[in-house]
Amino acid sequence: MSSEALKQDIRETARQNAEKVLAKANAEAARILAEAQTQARAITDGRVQDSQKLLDQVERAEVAKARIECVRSLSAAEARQVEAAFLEAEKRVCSLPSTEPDRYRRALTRFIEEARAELGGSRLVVVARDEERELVGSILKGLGEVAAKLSVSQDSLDARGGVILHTEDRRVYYVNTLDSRFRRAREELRSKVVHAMLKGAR
Amino acid sequence: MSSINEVMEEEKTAQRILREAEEKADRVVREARAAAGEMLGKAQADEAILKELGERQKEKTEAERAQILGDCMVKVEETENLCRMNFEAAVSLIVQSVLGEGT
Repeated sequence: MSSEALKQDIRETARQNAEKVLAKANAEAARILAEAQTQARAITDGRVQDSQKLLDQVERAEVAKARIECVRSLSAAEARQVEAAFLEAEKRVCSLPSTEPDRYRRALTRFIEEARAELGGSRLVVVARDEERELVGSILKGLGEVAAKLSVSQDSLDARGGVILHTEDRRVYYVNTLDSRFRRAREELRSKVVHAMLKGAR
Repeated sequence: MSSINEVMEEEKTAQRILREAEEKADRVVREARAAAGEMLGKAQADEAILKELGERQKEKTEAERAQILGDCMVKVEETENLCRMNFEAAVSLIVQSVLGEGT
């Protein structure tokens, strides 16, 4: 081999070796970058997922809060209307002695009979408002045989209407005033009133 | 003699070319590793994507909340209207109960 050919061979071999080294390095660099890209994507996806979970929790909490707020608003609206109905009913009942005296008389009669039934057969005293004492007296007269065991008290009833019955020894009382009946109605009737007020709801 | 020298000189040149190639190869790999490290660091610390996600979610949540409260206001109004419509019946029910009518 001539010296020129030898030099040519050395140069060519060196070039080829250098190219191989660089090609290998480039392939390694590409592999490193591709791997890093995959890892970076996984890291970002993981962080997004974690963050999304937290954000979903916040969203669920906010939505639940809004729903609770809504339920409260509905309950408050319902309660306002129910209260208005009770107040109107009280107003109407309290004005009955002047607007519908017969109806009030029948109601008082029922109050007295109810109390008498609860207290039993002993002699009883009926306490009424000053302005209704006469009315109560006339009701008692209309009760027939039972009237003999009932008397009207001279005590004055401090209430908006109705009666209190007690035994002669004052040991047992039955309070059947309008105020006590309003209280009972508020306790016992609430769900019925709500039902009546929401009748026709979709 | 001159030819041997020239061949030896060529051999040296060849070694230099190879050395330079190896140095360059080292640099390429080093730079790739540095870029990969930077890429991973950025992925771990990048807040922009989370911020954007948070803002998008916030808007969605706000919209949902507004929808619920809007629907609720309609329901409250419907309830109040219904209650007003049935008001007389409810009052009668209470009056009759207090007076002990129909018991």
